[in-house]
Amino acid sequence: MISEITLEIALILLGLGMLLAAVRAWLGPKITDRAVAADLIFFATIGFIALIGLRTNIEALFDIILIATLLGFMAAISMARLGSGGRR
Amino acid sequence: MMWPLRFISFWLWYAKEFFLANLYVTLDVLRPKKRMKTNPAIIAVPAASVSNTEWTLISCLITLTPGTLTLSISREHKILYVHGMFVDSREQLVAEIQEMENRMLRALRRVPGELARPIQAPVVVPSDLPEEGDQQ
Amino acid sequence: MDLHVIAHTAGMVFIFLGIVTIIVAGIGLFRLPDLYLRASAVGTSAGLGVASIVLGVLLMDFSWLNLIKAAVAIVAQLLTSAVGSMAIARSGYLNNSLPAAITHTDDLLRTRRDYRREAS
Repeated sequence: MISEITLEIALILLGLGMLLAAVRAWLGPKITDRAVAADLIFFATIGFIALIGLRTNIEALFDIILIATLLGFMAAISMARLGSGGRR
Repeated sequence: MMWPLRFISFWLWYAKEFFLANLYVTLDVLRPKKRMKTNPAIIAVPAASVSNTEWTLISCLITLTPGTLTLSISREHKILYVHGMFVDSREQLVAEIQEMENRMLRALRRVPGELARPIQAPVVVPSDLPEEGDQQ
Repeated sequence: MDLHVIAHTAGMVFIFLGIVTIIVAGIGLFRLPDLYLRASAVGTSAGLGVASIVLGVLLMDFSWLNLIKAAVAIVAQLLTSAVGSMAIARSGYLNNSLPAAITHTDDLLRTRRDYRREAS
């Protein structure tokens, strides 16, 4: 399917993006800055799932991706609610 | 033009805008600090949408285009509050958003219908009553 | 060249395009000064980044059922990321994270409840 070395390069690059977002989530002066960074970490996670699923050749890969995209929405909304203290 | 044709051509146009906006934001992030073109502003844009669907879709489409972000809407005053990343003047962002909205409304409605907007942005004053859902 | 190899190469290109978009958004989190600009930068990876990774994986592992699932996943991702970043930006405004100083116009400021107190 996908060669081992390419997969490793791709995963390392994705991890780099995640690391940048994690540092911002650490530094972020306000909770909403952290929420934006956490959003980016989540998108990188979808990439991770997709690439690892490609390697291990699982059947349900696209179902997992579909559910992951829908779950990210929940996380974003709940972090937004948390940031605004329940106000809309 | 026939309605399905208008619908499809709107989405093609939107895809083009989406890619260009992505390219623009990505290039600007990578540019050296002195030549960065970010010139952000929050602008009240008069809107022509009427139904729930149209309001939801236009604010989603604006947010989905990188560089512009809907912060709030006021349906009774017919205003979208849009945060833009590259705003040289108020007129430029308003024209951009209104062009997208015009195209969207023509694509969604079988007959174009009313496209009128409030010409002068009304002055919105904060209400003294606590908002609904305000828990403080 | 057989079709399989072409699809494989194109899939690789799409995957790396998506990864580069995500890294650029990560850099943007540091280079841009306020929440709203950062949310705009993350918007590129939410839309184009994830969509092109999913598209690349689809090209590498193609079947018609996967095509439908991937299409639904991309549409769901685009819609939910738009609503999510709108909610986060709005909660940032309610939470008093004011836009950075380079923001030259702010029409929303006039509608805030504490604006009149500052003005008088």
